[in-house]
Amino acid sequence: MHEELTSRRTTVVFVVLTVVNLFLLTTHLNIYIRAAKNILWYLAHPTAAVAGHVFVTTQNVSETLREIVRVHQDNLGLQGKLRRYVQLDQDYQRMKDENIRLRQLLNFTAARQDRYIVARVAARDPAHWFQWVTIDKGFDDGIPADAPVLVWYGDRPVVLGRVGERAPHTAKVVLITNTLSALPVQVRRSGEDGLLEGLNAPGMQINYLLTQSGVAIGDEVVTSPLSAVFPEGITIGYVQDVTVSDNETMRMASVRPAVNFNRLREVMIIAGGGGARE
Amino acid sequence: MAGVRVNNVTAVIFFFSVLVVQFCWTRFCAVYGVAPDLVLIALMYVSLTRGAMQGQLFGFAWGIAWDILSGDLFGSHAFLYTIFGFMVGKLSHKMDESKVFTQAASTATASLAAIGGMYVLYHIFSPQEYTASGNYIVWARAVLNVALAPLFFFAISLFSRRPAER
Repeated sequence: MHEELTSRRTTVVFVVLTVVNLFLLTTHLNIYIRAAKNILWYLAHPTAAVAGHVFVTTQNVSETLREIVRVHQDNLGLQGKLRRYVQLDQDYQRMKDENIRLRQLLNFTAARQDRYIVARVAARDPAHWFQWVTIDKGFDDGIPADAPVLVWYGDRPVVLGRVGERAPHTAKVVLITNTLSALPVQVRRSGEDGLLEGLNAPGMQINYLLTQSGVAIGDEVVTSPLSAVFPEGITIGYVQDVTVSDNETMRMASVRPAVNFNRLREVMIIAGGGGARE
Repeated sequence: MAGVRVNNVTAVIFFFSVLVVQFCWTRFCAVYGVAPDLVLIALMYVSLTRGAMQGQLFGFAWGIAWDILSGDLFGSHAFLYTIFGFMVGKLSHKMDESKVFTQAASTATASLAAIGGMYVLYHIFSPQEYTASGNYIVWARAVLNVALAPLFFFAISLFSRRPAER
C-alpha cells in the first residue's frame, strides 16, 4: 500500500515536472527567461572564477613542488660531488706535502720561474721592416741579452724574435723574419724538427726536412724543445708551401708568421730566460 | 528529523558539488576538447541508488541549472534529465548498481539517449538560431562518460551511506 502510494506520487511529480519542462521548452528564451538566466549566471560566475583561480594556484603549487624535488635532487648530487672534491683536496694536500718532503730529501731545486717584462715598440726602420724593431726598454730595465720576445696575438703568445742590441733604455729586437735569425722549430702535428730561418721578407723557411717528411700545408710550426732561447711549444707560424731542395736531398717549407708585423704595439720579453746563441 | 536534515544538506552539497565540478573544472581536464558529462553520471548514480523520485528531482534541478549556465536550448536538459532520472529510477529495482556493467550500461544508454533526445528537441522546439551539434565531440563524450562512470560510482560510494531500503 505504501509502495503503491509512493509510486503514484512519483508518477505525479514526474508528470508535473515534464509539463514544466515542456513549458520551458516552448518559451524560446523570451525576455523574462533571458533576464532570469543572466541574473543566475551572474550569481554563479564567482564560483567559476574561484575554480579557475584554484586551478591556476594548484598548477603553481605542483610546479613549485616539482622545483623543490629537482633542487633537492641537485643538492644530493652536489653534496656527493663536494664530498668527492674534499677527498681530492685532501689527497692533493697530502701529495703536496709528500712532494715537498721528497724535494728536500733529494735537495732538488725547483725550475726557475720566468719573469716577463712588457715593452712598447718605440721605432721601426722602414728599410729594415722585417729585420728589426726597437723597444723602449733596455738593460737598465732588466732586459737580458738574447731574451725571447713574444707578442700576444688573439688568445695566445706568438714568437716575434729575440733581443739583439741593448742600450740602457732601449733595445733592438731581431725579428724571426731576419736572415740573422735561425731557431730550431717543430711541426706540431708531425713532431718533426727543423731549422727556421728568416728571409728578410714577410715569410720564413724551414730547412733540413727529410724527403719523406710528412709536413703539410697548414701545419702549425712551434718552438722546439731543442731551442736554448725559447720555451717550447710557442706558435711561430703556419706552413704555406713545401718544396724540394735543388739537389733533391732535403725538403723545405715556407712558413707564414703568426704575428702581424704591421700591428706591433706591445711586446713581452721573457727576462728569466736567455742562454746560448742559436 | 535530524537525519532528514542531514540528508537534505548532504543532497544540496552533492548537487552543487557536481555542478561546480562540471562547469568549473571539467574544462581544465578536457581531452582534445572532450569533457565528460559528470552531471549525467551523477544522475545515474542517484537514480540507481535512490530511486525514481530523487532521480527525477535531481535530474530536473541539474537540467535547469545546466540550461541556465549554458547556451543550449532552454529546458532541453531539464526535460531529458528528468526523464532519465525517472526511468532509471524505476528500473533500479531490477538492477544491481554495484556492478560495473550496470553502471556502464546505464550511463551509455543515457548518453546515447541524450544525443538522440537533444537532436529531437532541437528539431521540435528550437527557433532558427539554434542548431544541435552532431560532431565527434558528442560521441566521444558518450564514450568518456562510460569510461568514467565506474570510477565516479566508486568514488561517490566511498562517501555515501546506502539507504536501508529504496
